[in-house]
Amino acid sequence: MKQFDLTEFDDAELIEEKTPIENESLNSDGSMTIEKVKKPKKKRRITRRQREGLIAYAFASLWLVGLFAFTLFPLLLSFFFSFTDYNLVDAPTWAGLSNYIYLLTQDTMFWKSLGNTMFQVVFGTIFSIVMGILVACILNKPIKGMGIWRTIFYLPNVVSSVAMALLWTWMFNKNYGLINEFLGLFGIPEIDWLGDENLVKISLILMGAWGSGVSALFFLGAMKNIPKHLYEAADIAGVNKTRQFYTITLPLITPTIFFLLVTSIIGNFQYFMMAYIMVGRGTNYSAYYLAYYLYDKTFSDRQLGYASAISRIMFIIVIIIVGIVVKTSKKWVYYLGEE
Amino acid sequence: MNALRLNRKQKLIREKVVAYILVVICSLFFIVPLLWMLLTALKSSEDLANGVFFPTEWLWENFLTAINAIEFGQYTFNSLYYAFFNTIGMVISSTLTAYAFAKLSRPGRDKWFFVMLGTMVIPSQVMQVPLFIMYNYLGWMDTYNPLIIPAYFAVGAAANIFLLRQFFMGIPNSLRESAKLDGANEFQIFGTIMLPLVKNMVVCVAIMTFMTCWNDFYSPLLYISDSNLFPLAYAIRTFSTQYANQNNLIMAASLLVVTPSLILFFLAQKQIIGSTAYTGVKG
Amino acid sequence: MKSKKSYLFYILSFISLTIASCSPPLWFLKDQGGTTYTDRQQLVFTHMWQRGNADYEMINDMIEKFNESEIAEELNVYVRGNGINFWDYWEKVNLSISGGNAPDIFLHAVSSTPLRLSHLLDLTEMYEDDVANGRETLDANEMFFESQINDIARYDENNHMRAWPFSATVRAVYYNKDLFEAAGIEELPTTWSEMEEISKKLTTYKVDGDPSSGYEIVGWDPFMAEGQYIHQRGWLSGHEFWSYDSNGRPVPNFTDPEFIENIEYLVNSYVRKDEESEDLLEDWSADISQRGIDAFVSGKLGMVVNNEGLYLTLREANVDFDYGVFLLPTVDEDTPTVNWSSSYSIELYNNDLRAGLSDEIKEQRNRGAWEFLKYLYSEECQGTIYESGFMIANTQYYDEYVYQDPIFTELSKAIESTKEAEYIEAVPNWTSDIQTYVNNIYSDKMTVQEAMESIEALLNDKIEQYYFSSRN
Repeated sequence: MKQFDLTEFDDAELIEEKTPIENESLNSDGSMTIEKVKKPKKKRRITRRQREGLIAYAFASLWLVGLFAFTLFPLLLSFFFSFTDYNLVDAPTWAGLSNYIYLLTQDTMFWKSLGNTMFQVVFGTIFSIVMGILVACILNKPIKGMGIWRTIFYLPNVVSSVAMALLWTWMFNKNYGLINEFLGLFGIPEIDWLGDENLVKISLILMGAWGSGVSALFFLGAMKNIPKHLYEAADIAGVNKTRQFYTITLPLITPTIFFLLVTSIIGNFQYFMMAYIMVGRGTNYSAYYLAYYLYDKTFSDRQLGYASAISRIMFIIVIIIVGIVVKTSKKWVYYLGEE
Repeated sequence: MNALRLNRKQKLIREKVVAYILVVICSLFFIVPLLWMLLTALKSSEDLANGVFFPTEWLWENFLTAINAIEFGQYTFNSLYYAFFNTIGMVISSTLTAYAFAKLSRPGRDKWFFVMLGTMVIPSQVMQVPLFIMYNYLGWMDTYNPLIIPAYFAVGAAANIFLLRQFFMGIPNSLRESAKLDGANEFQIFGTIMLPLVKNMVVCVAIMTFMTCWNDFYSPLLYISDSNLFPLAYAIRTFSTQYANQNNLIMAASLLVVTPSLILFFLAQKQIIGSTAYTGVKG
Repeated sequence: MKSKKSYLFYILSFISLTIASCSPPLWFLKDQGGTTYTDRQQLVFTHMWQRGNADYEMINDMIEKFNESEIAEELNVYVRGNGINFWDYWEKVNLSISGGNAPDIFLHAVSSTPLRLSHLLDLTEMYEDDVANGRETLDANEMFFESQINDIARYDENNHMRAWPFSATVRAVYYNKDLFEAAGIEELPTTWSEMEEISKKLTTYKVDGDPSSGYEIVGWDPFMAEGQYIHQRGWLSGHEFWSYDSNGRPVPNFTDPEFIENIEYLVNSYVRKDEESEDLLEDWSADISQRGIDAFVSGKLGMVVNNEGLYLTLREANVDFDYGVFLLPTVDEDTPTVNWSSSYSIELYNNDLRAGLSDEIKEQRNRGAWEFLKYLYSEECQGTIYESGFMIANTQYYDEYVYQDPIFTELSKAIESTKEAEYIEAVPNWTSDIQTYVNNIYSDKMTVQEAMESIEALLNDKIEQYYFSSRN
């Protein structure tokens, strides 16, 4: 291996290292000749490997600083603060586990907001993945001008989330929104999409379908990578299209599903900005997500210790869920090349 | 045999037609809201109340009203400033880091990569409170520092690093070695050889970061209270609460914010859409 | 061989990082209100007249006059105005205070002044200091109504003022005199039963042949106009929302049967008992609000509850009907009239708390802010503020401004009975916390009983959590 991997040595060393063979024989003899040969090696305090290692750290130094200063240190701080009461004005006072105890046993608002968030996580994720696959299937046909269609599908993601929120608030408007007007053509009465406490979460998820262009494109990319001969073989064997989808397409795009599943779950846990702009807390706190509760506790009630506790619980839940997804992934994710 | 072939041809045509119809319907779903946005922006207040679909008059003045109502010039500059420097910082830090992950061997490299993937899992809310306290302490509140400086340290750059790493790994080692034989050190190699090679990907990362920053609303909400420093996305929200029922003006203002993103997108769409292929394949 | 060019990347990176940390946006900022004074201490005055607002120039001129005055020069300070729009105002100011970046002089809400007491300059002390040094000064007791002073000073241990009322927002019933005359109403109501009487007289619908005439002369639940202000309704029925138990812990009281009965009465006021008229009203007011025209300003609504802001709107719209105001009626003759204030306060940040300044500079800044405050309450400034439609706070100038105007005169009578929502440390934002339930009542999603029970449960939860965690 050493003969081919030239990166291990530079020029100077190459000349030196030509002697290893002799070195071995000298070794068995012992005595001064060894030291003579060994000396050049000793001069090199840092081996090539180590030097390269240092350089690698130098390159990654920015990221390491960011990691420690902006990620790990805050994580530690949040852990520390969750055991205190801190309102930014007075010094933090120790509160032990009381934040957690209260949070888990008596705080009804926490469970309510957690429920709302879980709704979003479960149904929002499923919906976005299913929509993504459906749209990708549609796009996967041999159609001319695919570039244009793809652009169109990606377009909504370019739009600022604030603009999107404002647009959809207007579209969901009970009296004048486009959706109710469209439904009105069929004689369906006006639906209060954002005001009804039972509908608001569903409306927000449906709105998410508009942004499914990105996941559709991911799926499309994955689908295009499935070798055509598999389909052809199935065609010859007389398998109909739907079964082909379930047995060929679906299993082979599972890596993408896995990736999107994890990212969607994490993203949906943090979901609240849209709700904040569009409906506030929602009627009867129906759109009150965990992240919004956290925001209120931090910036409105100024109870930073309690907020930290909430965030840590959120963190643990996310880790558990993602961990489960990752662990079970081995069972249902097929990579091309295995079977 | 003939009959079979005809059938197949018919089948193909029918498939194609169905496919076209589906695609058109789908794209309508994506496009119509944007069209509606434009139409609403051009309506007068009476049109809004009457619920007509097309505006009776095309009021392009609505855009002017929207511009004058808020300090568009200053806010646009703020947004540009934010997006520009954040992008530069992100590009710098993510290319350097990705290169380190891709090329340079070092002990525990894969462990660090794992850690990096781990940072993607952390919800941002967890760090929100301590960061708020930290920035308070550093005196960074009400400046753009909390928004820009972390980008220089690759915070939130995990996906970008991931993408760039794929690219760097695709470059043959021989280039490096020949440069080394010429006597260049690693830094020079990176600056002059590696970087130009991944230019496409870098452009793509830059554009995506720029758009994200242009659209960002959450960070300014938390850290900026001086009204002179608001970026555009945030100003739009303020505008919408102030002119609560005048949806035509709100839509006009939103369009003004969205348009630069759209333009940028059209110019660079190949690269952006192309990038999705990379993350899709590797799980 | 590879010259410095190969290090270009790194050099550029470093340069950009340096530039980025120096915060360029402020370099390009257009000067607000003229010249800046680079050698003086800058005091930030945060207010609600944001850029683009019609009165923005007026405020800047006022500030500039102060900057050019002798006293500003003597104390080596100048004031820079920072306008934030109303909707984000509270959040932003709170954020900047807790971020250690507080403005020096700022408007805020009287109801949340207690939250910031520890940050604020003691204005009574500043006044006493002036008196001791023989300087010209303003006495809060001579400028403001007693009710306003109580609202602010009661949370300070020594009953000192830590804020001054900047405006005096009061609510009254605006009524259309022409419609009242047409309906044959001669006396203005002072109790709820009298209110019902005149509502009946005002409400007629279905004039022969004209389907839209039902809108012409309409009596409307005047309290509907501001559905969210639960304080008003409670207090006008003689109810108190908070009491304290033996431990000094706050106890919310939202489920008192008499209170609920009274609220139900208001919610189901005369007009709303009639389905047809309620439908007409709903359609009509939705129509009106879409066009951005206030229902009362359109001239078809008999009466509405609003604050002095409506008066400004009416004047600007140049309406063609005659209108007046009367004070909110109470549940019966024995209940004293009371007015929910929600006024703006103006507060000074205590520069002693700012880090990194010498004692001398801190004192200069405090005095500079105090002088600016006095300047804002001088006749000139109060006159300017009055012109922009605010109900000014300095009663010494009421003769010249407020009492010259009949509507403002009426409104000023309400100031004597204003009251701020009680500040509860455990639930500092309880008014916004309960908002979603209060809204439900007026959109018929919950009965009054259900809403009040939910509110009480929510507030009890929050109080419980507050006392559980630390404050043993």
